[in-house]
This record gives sequence, structure tokens and C-alpha cells, in this order.
Amino acid sequence: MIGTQLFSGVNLRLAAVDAEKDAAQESVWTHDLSYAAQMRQAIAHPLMALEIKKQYQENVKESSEKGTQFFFAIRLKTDDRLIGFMHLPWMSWSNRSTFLRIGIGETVDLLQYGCEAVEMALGYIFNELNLYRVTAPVPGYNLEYAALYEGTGFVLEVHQREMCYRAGRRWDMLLYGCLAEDWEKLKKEVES
Amino acid sequence: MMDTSTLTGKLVRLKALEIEKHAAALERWVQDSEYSRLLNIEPAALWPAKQMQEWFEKEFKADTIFFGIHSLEDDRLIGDTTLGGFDWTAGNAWVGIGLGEREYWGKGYGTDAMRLVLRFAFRELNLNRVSLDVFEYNPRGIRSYENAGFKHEGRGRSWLMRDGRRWDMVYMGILRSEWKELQRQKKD
Repeated sequence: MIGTQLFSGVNLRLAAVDAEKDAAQESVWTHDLSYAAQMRQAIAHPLMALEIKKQYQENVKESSEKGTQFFFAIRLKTDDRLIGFMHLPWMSWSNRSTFLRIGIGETVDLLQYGCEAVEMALGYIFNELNLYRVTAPVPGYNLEYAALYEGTGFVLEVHQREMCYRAGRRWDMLLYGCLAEDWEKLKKEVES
Repeated sequence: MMDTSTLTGKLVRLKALEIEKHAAALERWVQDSEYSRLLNIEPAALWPAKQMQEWFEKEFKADTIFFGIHSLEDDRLIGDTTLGGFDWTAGNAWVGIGLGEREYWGKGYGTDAMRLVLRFAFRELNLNRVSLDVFEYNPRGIRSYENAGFKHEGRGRSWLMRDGRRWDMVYMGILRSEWKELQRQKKD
């Protein structure tokens, strides 16, 4: 028997993005520049709901037409509240390699539900997409995200020195990697 | 102030692309799959020059800087290089470089071209760093980048799959301060 529920976790569910409502919520979150930088490669700044909505629509279009990205909302199962997003912005199918961006809007939710969100993302990446590795970029100032990936089977692989600029100084860009075997190891640790 | 010296090195010169000629050269270059496999993570494939020309015409973005690499001795087009993915806030760009003409491999032409790109990046674009990634199975490339002043910044384990096995992605970068120090040492 296979695991049938990829999109339903203990507390969280992955959901299709609602372009109107979710964009309005994410616009609020992008006023936290650390959040904005975590979710998008572009220069971090507060984004209008209108431009976020356009980005979502492009994501979904590229996802369905080319299959080179996946983009889901992360919601609480209890009251369906939106807490963040999971984005695989680019797939290299021949190498079975992808990138992961998870952004959780509120720090309290990040601390409480971040691990579960990453574990659900990894389940999708390895069990359904059959990939072999995933790279998660974290700007050096986003300590909560660095801790999150370190606690969920990722290995810190690359320090791109002075790659980021925020709050008046330069920071490294950290690249975390997780291989299928890292994930298998994590699952065994969780089970035992 | 007429000055073309910035983009002229010891072995090569960087010039703007001539799209028609460049597309014709690329059609020939990608016939050598080693060229594509050293340069590109996507599967090597064959494309007609016409299609590549269309790609340049349609997809060309002003936020990427393309150069043709020409040998100084006879102005022959031997490869190309791009600076792209600019982050003007942090002062970073990604560089890519490839020599399509095999007989110029391993003779310092690529390193000379990279030195010109770095001079352009730091002196003209005022960048703070230049980044690249290179595949584990390309030791000649890695050595060339080390010679141009790039430092190793880590490895994405088992990033690529080719010939039935997995290979690391090697990440390298050079900071403006390191580049300046290299220039100072050269003068001494």
C-alpha cells in the first residue's frame, strides 16, 4: 500500500492557491522584508496584492503548461487559516533536482508548524516527484529558517559570501541540501 | 574617451554578439556534446541555427550581458560569456563561460576571457562579487576559475546525474576585495 495523503498532515494541509485572497494576505507578510527575501529571489520589498496575484497566475500557468514548478498554499486543518506557501520554483527533471522555498508569514507559526511544512514538502518531493535532491536557499540573516532546515534533514552545503544585503550590511547566502538518503535517515529517526 | 582596452586581454577580446554569426557558431558547437555537457545542466540537444537566432531575438533580455570571445591573433569567434542574474542591491552577478572551439581548450584563452569579465564586473559595473557554479566532472574549468581568482564556497552534493552516476555542483565566488588584492600583487 502506498501513502495516499500527500497534502494532509497532522496539523497542516497543502492547498491550491487562491489568487485573490491569498495574495492579499501575502502582501501583508511581504512588509516583513526577511519574509519577502525568503520567498522570492528578487529584491525584497513590500509587494502589492496585484503583483503577487500576477505572480501566482504565472506560477500556475508554468506549472500546468511546462511542469517545471509547483506552488501550494499551506493551511491549518482546524480552521483553514493560511499560514504560508511552499514553492518549488524550478525543476531539473533530468538531474532529479529542485529548489524549495517555504515561507511562513508569522514567526509563531513558523516555530510551531515549520517542521511539519518542510516534512510535507519533502514527502511530495521524494515520494511523488521522485526527485533525488532539493536545495533550499536561506539568506544568512534568516536564522529561524536556517534552524528549520538544519532540524529537518538538510545539510548546510554552501556559503556564498556577501551574497545578500539587508539592514545595512552584507550577509552570506546559505544553501541547504537534502538528498533522498538524508530524508530516509530523518524518517527512521522520527519513527524510532 | 575612446577606450576598448578594458575588454582586451592577452589572448582574447570580448565583443558584442553578432546574432546571425553567433547562432551559426552555436549550431556547430553543440554538435560537440562535451561542450554542452560542461556548460549546461539541461540535456544536451541539437538545435538549428535559425531557432537559436529566434531565441536570441525573442528571449534576449537587456538584464543579461552577452559577449563573444574572439582570439586576438585573428579575431576568430571561439566562445561566449554572459553576466546575468544581477542583484544590484547586494552587488552580485552570475557568470557563465564556454569555449566552443576545442583547439582553444586548456591554453589559457578561457582564463584570459574570465579575467576580462571580472575587470568589467568590478571596474565598470561596480559589483561586490561574481558567482559561478561548475560541475564536478569539469576539473579544467575549476582550475581555470581558481587561476582567475575564484574561491571555493561549497558543493551541492550529488546535484547532477550524467553517465549513470551523480556529481556535485561546485560553487565558487570572488569578492571585489580579493580581485583588488590580485591586481595589487600583479603590479608588485
